[in-house]
Amino acid sequence: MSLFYICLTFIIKISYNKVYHKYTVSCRLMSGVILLKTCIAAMPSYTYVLKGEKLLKARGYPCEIRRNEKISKNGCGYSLYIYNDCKKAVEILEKYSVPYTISEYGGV
Amino acid sequence: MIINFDNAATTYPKPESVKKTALNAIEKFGGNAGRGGHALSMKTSEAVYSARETISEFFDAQPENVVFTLNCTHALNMAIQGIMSGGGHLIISGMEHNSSSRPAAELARNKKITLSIAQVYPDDRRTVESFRSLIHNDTKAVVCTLASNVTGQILPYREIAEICRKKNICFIADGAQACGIIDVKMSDGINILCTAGHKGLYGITGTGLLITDGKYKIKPIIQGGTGSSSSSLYQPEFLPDSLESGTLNITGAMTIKAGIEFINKIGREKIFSHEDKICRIFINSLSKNKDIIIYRNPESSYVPIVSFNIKGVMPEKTASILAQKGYCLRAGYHCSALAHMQLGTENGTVRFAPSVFSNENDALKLAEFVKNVTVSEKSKKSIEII
Repeated sequence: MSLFYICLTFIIKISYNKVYHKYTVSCRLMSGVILLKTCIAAMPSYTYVLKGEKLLKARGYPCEIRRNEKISKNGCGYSLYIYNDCKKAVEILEKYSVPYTISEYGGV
Repeated sequence: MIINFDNAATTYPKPESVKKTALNAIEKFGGNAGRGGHALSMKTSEAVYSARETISEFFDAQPENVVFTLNCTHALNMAIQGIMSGGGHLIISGMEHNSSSRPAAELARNKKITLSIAQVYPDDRRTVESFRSLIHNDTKAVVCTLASNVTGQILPYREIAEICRKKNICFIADGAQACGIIDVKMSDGINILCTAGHKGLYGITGTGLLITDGKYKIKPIIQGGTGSSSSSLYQPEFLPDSLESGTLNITGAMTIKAGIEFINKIGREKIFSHEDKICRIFINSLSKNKDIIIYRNPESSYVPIVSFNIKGVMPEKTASILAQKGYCLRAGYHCSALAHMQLGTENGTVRFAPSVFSNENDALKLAEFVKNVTVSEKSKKSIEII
């Protein structure tokens, strides 16, 4: 399982109002990379990958459909990148008869 | 002026939402579903999946078990030829449309199956017994229309499905005249439901559905590109891909979703009540006329379709006279040789079939005009005799 470390960059601005003698602090997030556990579930067709995505997202599991970069032995296809607890996510897929193959665990 | 009472052939007009969906589909969903990973393809794939979801909820099925076809005939051919590919005995009802009776007859003619035709009676119990008596050890499937496209008679399909379930026989239903009108669900015992997208579901022409409960494997009759398992020379074995070769009618699929949403918004029962009331008004207006035959039996229940004839007048002539006044009704055999054989209507009938957009006023005016045609044709014959 590959992980990304959280790296957040903020711009903090402090300004002073001479009339009212007040300081104002503002903070803005510039960039960030979120720590994720990821697994990739390859599915036989777009119908199943869409079904899988809807099931997982409805249950709070962020995921993303991607076209497979590598042609597998089954040909071209789609995978669901699951950014959460993979074990629980695949339990959901199995419960709703969504066929999948975990092609790899890995980061984006 | 056109007043369409031929909605059993295809519903017209279509709801505004369906028309807008068709235009939107052409303008914004121009990718090919399930092929490619770019935004256009994925957006279109999601739209098609969304249609599957709406359809599966409507019929109490799973989205992946919804197969888009060209029409109900295509769906029935896939079901009948797919299930009977290994041979065996098939039973069809005596009211079947040619879309089921022809593929069945062709398989029997080529000695690939044996075929029996179950008589349909006004009394449901007799119809059920008629099916039961034909079942034997080799019976593999039963094909039954849920409602006749000629008379509108609703067959006792739940009871027939139950017999099939107990005997492990595949029950294939033709829902073309029933879906969107009466409450049809896979949980009625239907193993394979075939229906048109363009009739009671208000989608555009060129659409149909085959919905399966997954219990019986349907051997594909067409092989081709499915966007999946593409390195294999063989058709995928999983649904819906195994039965969906080639590019789908994506616009059509989206309009079926829009049509079902339209039905759900109004209420299917409300639509049935409206159309049924129009049929009753039409029948009541004609029933006292001894020269008009209405093919309905008080023992049976019906979807909103009425077949009738004017005594001594060819049905095609009746329809032609009505057409001159802008009334669109279909006459003849309605592609149902078996049904007309059973009715004994050797020249066919004239069929009245309203839709949700029909109104009582037009039905009454049509009925009055039919009565006038009766009188004028009768007087013409009197003059001829003289």
